[in-house]
Amino acid sequence: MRGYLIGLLALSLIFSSCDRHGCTDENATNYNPKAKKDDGSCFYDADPESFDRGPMLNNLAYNVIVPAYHDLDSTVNTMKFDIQTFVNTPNQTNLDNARNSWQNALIAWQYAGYFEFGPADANFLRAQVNVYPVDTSQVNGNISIGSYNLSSASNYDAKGFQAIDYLLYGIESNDNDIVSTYQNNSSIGVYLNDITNDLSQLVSTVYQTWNPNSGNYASSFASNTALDIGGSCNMIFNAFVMHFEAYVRSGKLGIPAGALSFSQTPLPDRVECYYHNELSKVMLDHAFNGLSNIYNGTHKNNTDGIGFKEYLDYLQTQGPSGLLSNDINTQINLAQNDAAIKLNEPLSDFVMNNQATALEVWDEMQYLVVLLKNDLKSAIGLSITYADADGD
Amino acid sequence: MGQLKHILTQPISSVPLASYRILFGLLMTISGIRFWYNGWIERFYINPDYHFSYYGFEWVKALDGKGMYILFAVCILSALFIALGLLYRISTVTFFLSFTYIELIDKTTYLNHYYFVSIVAFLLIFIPANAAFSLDNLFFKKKRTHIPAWTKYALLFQISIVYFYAGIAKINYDWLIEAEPLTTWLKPRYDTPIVGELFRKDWMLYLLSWCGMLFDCLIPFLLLYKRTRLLGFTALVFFHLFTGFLFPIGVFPYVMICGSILFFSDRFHFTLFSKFSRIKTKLYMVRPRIHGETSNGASPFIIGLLAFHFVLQLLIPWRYLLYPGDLFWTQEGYRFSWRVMLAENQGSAQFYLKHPDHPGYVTIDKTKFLHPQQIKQMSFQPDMILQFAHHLKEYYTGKTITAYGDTLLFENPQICADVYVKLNNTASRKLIDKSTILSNQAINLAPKKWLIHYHD
Repeated sequence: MRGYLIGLLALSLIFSSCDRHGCTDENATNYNPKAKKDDGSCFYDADPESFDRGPMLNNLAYNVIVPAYHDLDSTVNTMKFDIQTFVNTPNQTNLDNARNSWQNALIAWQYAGYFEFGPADANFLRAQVNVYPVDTSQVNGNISIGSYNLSSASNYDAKGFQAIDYLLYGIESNDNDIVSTYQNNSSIGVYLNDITNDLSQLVSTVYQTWNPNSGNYASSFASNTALDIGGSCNMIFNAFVMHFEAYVRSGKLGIPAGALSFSQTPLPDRVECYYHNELSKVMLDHAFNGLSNIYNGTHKNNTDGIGFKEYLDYLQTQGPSGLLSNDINTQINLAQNDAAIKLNEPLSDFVMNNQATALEVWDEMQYLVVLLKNDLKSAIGLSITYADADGD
Repeated sequence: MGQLKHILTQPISSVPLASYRILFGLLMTISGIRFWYNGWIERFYINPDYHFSYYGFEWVKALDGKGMYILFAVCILSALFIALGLLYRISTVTFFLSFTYIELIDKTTYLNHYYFVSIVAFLLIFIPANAAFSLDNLFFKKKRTHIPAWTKYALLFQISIVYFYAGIAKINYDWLIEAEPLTTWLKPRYDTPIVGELFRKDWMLYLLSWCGMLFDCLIPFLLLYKRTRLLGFTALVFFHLFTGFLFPIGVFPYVMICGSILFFSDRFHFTLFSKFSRIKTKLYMVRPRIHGETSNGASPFIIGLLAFHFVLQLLIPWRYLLYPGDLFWTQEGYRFSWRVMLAENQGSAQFYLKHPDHPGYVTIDKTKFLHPQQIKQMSFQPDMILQFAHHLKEYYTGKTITAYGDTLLFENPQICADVYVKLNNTASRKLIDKSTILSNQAINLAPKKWLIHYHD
């Protein structure tokens, strides 16, 4: 056994010694003194006693946010290629490929959507990438007129992932007719290509601004450890809580379930992916993962890094049934499991037939919002001061 | 009784009050200019469409257009006049009225130290702090070297009340046993220069909590006795500068440091002024000089008024006992009681618009109505939540609103709210449930029966 371990150690030394890529941050747990070029693999063990916002922001920037944008960028590029292929040669195989890569890109978006501050905010990313319901009459109007300005705000709900959903699934009731529509009408393919390019450009702009090898917003984000209103903690906190509240809790479930209307009438056409409504629940599930990644500082490969959870561990903040750091994870899991078990695809039918159950899930998500918005915010000491205050 | 009268009416030097008057006037001038310079007049008084008025003072409104600036200009100038000792009686009345008017416009700007300033301004009206070292001495060719002792003692008593009440308010479980809210506030501030690393340590947070409590309770006595005065003053300066360094409390530390000089002897104040010898000769040597003070300097009306004032001062902080439930939770009877930096309340209030004939609750975006500072303050204070609900009812009455597929006319809109509050280091709890129709609840000072109590 001992010999085996020594052998393993020796082997790993041999491997690491010829490895020039690795973690170059001396403060990281996996710091590799031989590494010449940082490959973003650093991770940090949180010592609750000596917690520091610097490594937390560093972890969020390089191991959570940048990889999320990288994923989004590469899946969108694949989608762009596959859609182009389909438009050039409309047939069932190419349609399936385009649909498949659209789905992957939209899943990647569920992780990247939480970062609507800085570069994403400056480019109005969310408003241009995933607005629903899609305005189909605007889409059809654009296609028949053949000239449109996609950067105009009036076209925000006629483009993005949901317009692609409509164009790949919703223009006809069966696949044969969809393929033949593309074969017979070139202007619809042109529009699909145009909105895909627009999406890809937007995503690429934001990704490149974050990218450490390009705009490197990641570095200025990671170094701004202040707690005041312009500090990174404040920006990312407000962004991810707001995204979860408005675009996940309300957008993906509350509005379709009628939780936000006077008459509480369900609105099935407000679900995400309405034209391929087998996916609405899948997207909600991924959005929960995205939230959990930020809160826990989890890397793409599921390695646990420093996130808000470790910050709360340092503060020893009390939650409803123990440490707040654990209570938030419990509530994320509870809401996510509730959504996974209680809701059924297609969500648009489910909210019509089982509204009460949908509203139960909504309640769990609602309570999660309180824990994040109130308990987490107060605990981490975000000092949002507008004037003198003596604490009353 | 006779002895008390003797103590209160015996002549004392007019110089300590003169130095206090000058410092107070200058501080208020600077404070007013700072408020203006920061753009806060516009942000807090001109921009918001809605202000949270005090019960019984609903008639106090923010002035339109340039009016607010004129009001501030009047306030700042009268503060300067107080410092100069020019037209003293008129300036103190003007300053008191203008400053208090501004503070009464919006509850969300309430600070204990603004309340303190209003009280001092009120007391100064009746205190001849212009008896020496004032321009009035020059213009009216009259000065008094001595004034009755009650004039200074009134201020000393007021200042002592502030500290002592602030001190006993700190004698509570959270402050002493949990070291809260200091732990919540300071533990994330480990990056504060010099002392930050210590904020990671529990013993430091307990030390600060206990010292804060002891300081507030003891400081009036330390300052009153000559032997401990220098120790007390040193502690006081350190305490106020340290809290000023840690928290955004504006000019408050300086207002309190300035108040503490009143505790020092006449000789100390003479020495202070002898540094400015030229001013001294000009102002102090004004003739004719009136030596001593024969009358007690106060009419029965003033004596009665001040007696009434101090009885109120001693009683008002206890009014919370008339309300059921936990004071820190319900906030009923919290203000005007010298509870300074005493609790961390983080609230989130989600307001809903409800149609009487429909089951649904439609969320209201409060940012369309309120400034962030107003939202922050309102979100954990039930009286403000109730006021805002009434305001929303007024706003939506007669309006047709569309929300997610429904379009309805609101003749009798119902306003409700889900309010969660996190108090110190405990988990958020529900303070108000949306089943209460807030817009139907009366606005008054009676206990709010619709609050969910902390220990329910």
